[in-house]
Amino acid sequence: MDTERKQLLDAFRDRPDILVDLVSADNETKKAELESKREQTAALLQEKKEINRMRASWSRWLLICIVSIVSFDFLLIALLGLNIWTFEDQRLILAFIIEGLIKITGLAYIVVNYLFDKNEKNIFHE
Amino acid sequence: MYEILIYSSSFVVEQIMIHYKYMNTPDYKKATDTALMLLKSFEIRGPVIPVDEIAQREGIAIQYFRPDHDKKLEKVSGFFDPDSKTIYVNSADTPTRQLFTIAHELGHFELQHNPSQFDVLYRFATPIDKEPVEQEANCFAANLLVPEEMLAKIMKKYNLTANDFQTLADLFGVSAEVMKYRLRWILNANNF
Repeated sequence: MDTERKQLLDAFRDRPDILVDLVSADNETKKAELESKREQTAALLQEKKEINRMRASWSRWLLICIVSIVSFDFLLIALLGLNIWTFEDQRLILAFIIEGLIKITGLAYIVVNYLFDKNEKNIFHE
Repeated sequence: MYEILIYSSSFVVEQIMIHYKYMNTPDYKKATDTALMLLKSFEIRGPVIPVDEIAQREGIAIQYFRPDHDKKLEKVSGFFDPDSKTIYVNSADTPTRQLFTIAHELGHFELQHNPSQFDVLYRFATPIDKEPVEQEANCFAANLLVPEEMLAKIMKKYNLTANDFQTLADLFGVSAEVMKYRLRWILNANNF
């Protein structure tokens, strides 16, 4: 079974010029390339981790904003419904509610477009 | 009399079959344990695993060869010569492939494979790859280059999944194919 090995060893004996020194520049460069790729990937991952940490923080604040707006709208409608609060001009209530909806839509737009990067995977797979 | 003959012959056949089965079944546990013990003894805690340094510290020389358009040499990734304790590696291969070749050949040495049972490692899949000793050497190489515990720690640290195999391959200095194979193996072993 080891005939192939013996044939190759014979070939090396006949042509020692095909054997390359271990510390040849070529192999050292290849090893350096491998290490540099690893460092680059580790740096990108660290950056991704930091971004995710910041995104988590922003998401929490955005969630607080959305909950506050919804709660305020709910309170406003409840107070109006129970006749605790009254407004002479009913258009004001409508404006309040529409404004709340616009705020929520705006925040949702920020979340979808900026908190979730669509090209996230390409950073690592280029 | 006939019963005794039949019984004894069936016993002999059974023993031969057990022996044959044992000889033809790769011992993955032994390969895994040997690789992990080696990593532990060299106190390696992170990738890229310096397999060439490990091999040299184990008393094995590494010699690169240029294929030089020789058809026979071009087919070969590397091989281990037990007489001179030398691992020959194809210098035209990619660095990731070279690391795997060294790890695979080191496996033959560490697992004390009989030199008559293993041959050269080809660049492309051959029927020889299915030999138990070759499978053990592959398992050793996979565990040495991508240790399960280290992989799990890094995946947890960077919140990576099996879909990020290319990123993980870059981190461990292995090819995407090796990483995919390794992840599949680990996920199957853990019944995911």
